[in-house]
Amino acid sequence: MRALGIWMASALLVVASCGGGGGGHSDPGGPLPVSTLTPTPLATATPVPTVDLVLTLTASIDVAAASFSVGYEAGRGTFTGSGAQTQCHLASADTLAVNDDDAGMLRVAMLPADPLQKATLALPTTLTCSFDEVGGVVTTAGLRVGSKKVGVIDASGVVVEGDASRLDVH
Amino acid sequence: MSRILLALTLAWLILAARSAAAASCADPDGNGIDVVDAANVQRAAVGLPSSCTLAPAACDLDGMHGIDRDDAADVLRRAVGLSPTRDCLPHLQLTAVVRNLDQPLFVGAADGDDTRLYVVEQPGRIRLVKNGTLTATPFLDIADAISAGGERGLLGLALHPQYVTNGRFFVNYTNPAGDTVIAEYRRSAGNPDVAAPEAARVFFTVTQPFANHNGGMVAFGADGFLYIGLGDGGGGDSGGGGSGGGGDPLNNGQSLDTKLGKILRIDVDTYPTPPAGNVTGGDPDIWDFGLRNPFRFSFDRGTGDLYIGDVGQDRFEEVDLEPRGGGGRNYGWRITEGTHCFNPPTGCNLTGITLPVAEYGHEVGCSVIGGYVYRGRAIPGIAGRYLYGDFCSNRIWSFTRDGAVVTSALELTDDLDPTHALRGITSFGEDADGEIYVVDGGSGVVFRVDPE
Repeated sequence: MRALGIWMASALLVVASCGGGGGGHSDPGGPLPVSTLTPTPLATATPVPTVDLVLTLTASIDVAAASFSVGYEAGRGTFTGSGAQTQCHLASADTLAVNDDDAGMLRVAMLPADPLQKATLALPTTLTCSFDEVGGVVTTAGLRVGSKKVGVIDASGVVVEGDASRLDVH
Repeated sequence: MSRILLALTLAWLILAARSAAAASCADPDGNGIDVVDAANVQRAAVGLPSSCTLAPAACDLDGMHGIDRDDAADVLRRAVGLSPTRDCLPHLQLTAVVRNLDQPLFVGAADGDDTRLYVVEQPGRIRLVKNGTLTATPFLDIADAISAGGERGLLGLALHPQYVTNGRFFVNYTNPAGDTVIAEYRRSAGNPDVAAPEAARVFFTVTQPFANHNGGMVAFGADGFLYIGLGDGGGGDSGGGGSGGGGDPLNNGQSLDTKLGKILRIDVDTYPTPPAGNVTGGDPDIWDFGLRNPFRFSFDRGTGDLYIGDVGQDRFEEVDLEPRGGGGRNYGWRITEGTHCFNPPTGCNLTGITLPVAEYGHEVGCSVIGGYVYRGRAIPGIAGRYLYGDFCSNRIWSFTRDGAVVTSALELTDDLDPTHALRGITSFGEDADGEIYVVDGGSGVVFRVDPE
């Protein structure tokens, strides 16, 4: 697709600076007044603990593509980041797509990094995702892996749906 | 031998079963977009066997440049519920519907009549394509009443919204003196396939100071009024060739005392009484001003919005957008060319100017040909997409929009014209069903945009 040099009509918002001055007047002939305000304590936000949750992926067949969902208790927190920016990475070099809805469901899909070099996923591997705990400790054991789907290469070289039970995610 | 035949039969059955599933964009196997589809697109992108072999259009999401890794990445995103990064456009093609035309530069149809197309030939004839066949006798022949060549000739045709019942149509042509005439003709009372040869009425004649920038478009808006595109009168290029010359030396575009450089709007039933809402304080027929050469414009039959292709000077071509009923606009010429200052070349005052929603530089074309928003039924994948092109480069682009913001700009040239056979796009057009046509004035062919 050739990108067009399309100009998109939009309004430029020009925000005028206020100059940063306080607007008060000092008396050059006398002493400056001293503030008598009582300092207000700053609010101190409690940092949200972030943990790495590690899922191990193994398969008893050659898998050309895989996807699954990871359910979690939304009240306990969310995976760090949202949507495609969810903070996850694979130990292998395979291609990863993630999507956390911030409401209890992370969706994961994987493809080979380069099917010309290796037509199937590099398994076993691990998927590590950061999780922001807001409601207590969350562990990998508390996650619910479901909706597994795998693609396998058939005799004609086409990827077709395979037996998802042959993929283990824990 | 029988085993081989059996194997071949089984293989064929498997392939047939696979292809029986309804493949759709990003879903070559037709059972929903998932990671299996992504894997097949990825494999196809690098030349490996995949289900895309049976449904390549489903894997080449945007219909251009073949199946690539970006297509695979997009399908993978879709597989986890993320928003796509590229549009799913169906593959398109140009189908020749009529050939051997003499310098065609417009095609149109009457509302409610899907059996006839009317093709304007610049030398002064309107040709009829009836049930797909070009009739031998021109629908109208006024070649003796016009001057043609360069930017002159029979330039535009608008069939009345009730043409089927009243037979009224309107033309824009250049008379022998080189001036623009807007006239009404009628269908013959005795033969619906030809017109009465004499004009029923001439609304007005506009003196053209130069041979170029005559505009040419006439079209009915959703309000039932006739809109007329007139260029700025040109200048400095009396030979009438090309888009050069001028710079609007008479500043007609910004003057409200002339019809030149305008979109005009008239009521064909009450003329010269203007319809309410025209610009006041000048020529009563003015609807919009600040135009250089609005050779082709159109109304979105779905919304009534007006899209104007305004041919630029030496640097930029532009498409202007006007919401239905939102006239009285100054589109900038000669103060601006596209979104850029023209006169003065820097520091121009943009107050009151409506800038285009799309523009392109002369590195990719030289004369914009305004097109149409697709509202047909044959290609639902491009519904609401505006198609337009360029006379010089024969490139065809498209965009969708959200309000005044272009949301998806895609070039369609490689898909529609992969062999670069077009020789000079002079117009787009619509038939009664809203299907879009491309008029190639250079080769004398009218094409329809079809799904591949």
